[in-house]
Amino acid sequence: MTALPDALALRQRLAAGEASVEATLARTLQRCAAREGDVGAFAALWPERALERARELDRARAAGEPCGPLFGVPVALKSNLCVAGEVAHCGSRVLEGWRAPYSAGAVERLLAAGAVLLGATHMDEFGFGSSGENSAFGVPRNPWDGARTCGGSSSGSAAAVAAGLVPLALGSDTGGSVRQPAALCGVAGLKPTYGRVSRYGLVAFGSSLDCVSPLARSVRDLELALSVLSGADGRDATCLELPPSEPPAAAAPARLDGLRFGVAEAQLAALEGDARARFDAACAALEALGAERRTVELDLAEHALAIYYVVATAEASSNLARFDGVRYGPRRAGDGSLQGMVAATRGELFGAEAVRRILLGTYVLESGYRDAWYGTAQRARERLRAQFARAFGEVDVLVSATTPGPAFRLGERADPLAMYRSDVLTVPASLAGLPALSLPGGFVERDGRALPLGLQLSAPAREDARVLRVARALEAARPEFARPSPVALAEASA
Amino acid sequence: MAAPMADEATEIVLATARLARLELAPERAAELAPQFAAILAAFGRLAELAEGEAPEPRADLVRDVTREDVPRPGLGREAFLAAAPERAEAHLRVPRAVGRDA
Repeated sequence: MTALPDALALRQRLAAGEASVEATLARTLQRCAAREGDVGAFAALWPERALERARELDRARAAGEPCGPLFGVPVALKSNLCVAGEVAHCGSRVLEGWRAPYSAGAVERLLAAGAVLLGATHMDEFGFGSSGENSAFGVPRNPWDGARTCGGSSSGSAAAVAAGLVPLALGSDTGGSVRQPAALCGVAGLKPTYGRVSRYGLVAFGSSLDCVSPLARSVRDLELALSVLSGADGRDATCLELPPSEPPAAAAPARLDGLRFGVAEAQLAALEGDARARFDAACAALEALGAERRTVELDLAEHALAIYYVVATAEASSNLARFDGVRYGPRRAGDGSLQGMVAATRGELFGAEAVRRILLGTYVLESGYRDAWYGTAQRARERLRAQFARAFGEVDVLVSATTPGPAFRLGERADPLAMYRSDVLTVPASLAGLPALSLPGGFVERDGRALPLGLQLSAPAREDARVLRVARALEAARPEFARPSPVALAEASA
Repeated sequence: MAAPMADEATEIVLATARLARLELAPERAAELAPQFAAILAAFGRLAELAEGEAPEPRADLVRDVTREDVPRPGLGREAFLAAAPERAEAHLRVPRAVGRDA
């Protein structure tokens, strides 16, 4: 899947002096100018900042300074990650024009590793969506079929990687917002264990669920990105006090002998017919590597959507209470009173899905309903966690499809409930705080075009390395499960 | 936790919007009401899980996250005010909230 080099290969060439960072960045910017119109991934490009940074890196290398693990690698950032002085509007008019006064912990780590920040990508408003369509500023188009969605909510980050514009991008994953677009765009995405990467400077959606998460062309790049991004950060009270993870090993594991992988029958029912066939082929490929397939019980996963949408909207309504026309972004006058100004600002500037989620979240937290909705959801979440723990007593990793089917057409899921159902396979791991990875899992055809599918692997909390190891083995053994998108191929041959 | 009927849902949407400090025109509330009712009806499946014991929260999730109580540099007033919609010298400016006729 790497007609264009992945981040690790690019870094090695740049660190060896085979090309300058500035010249490589200039080509990246040309590529964006040529192809961005096909996909519409970026909300903002930062050419001046990036070129200045590239020259600084070239000078440092020439002076004999050590090259970091992402030396010279251009990286795209979802527009809910703060970069000091740059827009971070989260796809929302409520933050239009607002510039972040500080940088996120993940952004600091990228810079310390030598990365070049290229720009901010489009997203569903505050992460509320599974297609990218809930953005106030732009809807990315799928590099495999421009009439289809990229998935969401990290739509632009996935589109930028899949279109060959950048080898690495950051998104955020609350209920599948990196794994789903990775699957629908045919790239790899990792939601780390909750707390493995600092949330400092990530604009909050669901604070008990949000994870800064990388997207890349190869699984080893996800491993590389996690080794850069992970580690303790005292500015995020939920960040785990663990050292950074290990950088990728030189070679992918050749075999998976002794590995037990679990499949929950309850999760197979959601799959479209041909997607089920591709899923079975991916499981057979794991078995061919020596792994053993087992069936596990995960019937509470059927309730995960309801649990998730109660917990996540409750947290979102609390987190979005801060956007009131006083401290950030634009303001609407309303009737001239303070209360009127706040209500008018929020009522006019939040998009339709944000309004829906704020209302749902406020309702389930309301006095008199709180225990019936939010309390029940929290207790059910604990039961789901316990069911995962039992499953991991029997198997090493769980395997499912990432989405029920391939990318759907833009505008196809106007009914909010139909859109929420897109998340059915990704929210269980989010609720349990597990590491979960989506890697390319083959193709199906729709309207005469090949469209990618994702395969999702999850493991117990803190076992991020396990899903990465299994994914690398499968990626190496079955390269035909992935290939560059038509837009990336056009660029590679240009 | 029964979901509201669509006709009562409009009133619930308007009342919830007031709690959420969201200005919502009545016609917009009427549009949202059936969606709101349908979503709550779908999530009403949670009631099936209301019974039964939930596991205790795990002890390994509980730790002291407070840091030493020592001063350290903050964001800085100028950086904060620069990002605000309206300021008056060193303050955020908002419409008068005290001493204003109702």
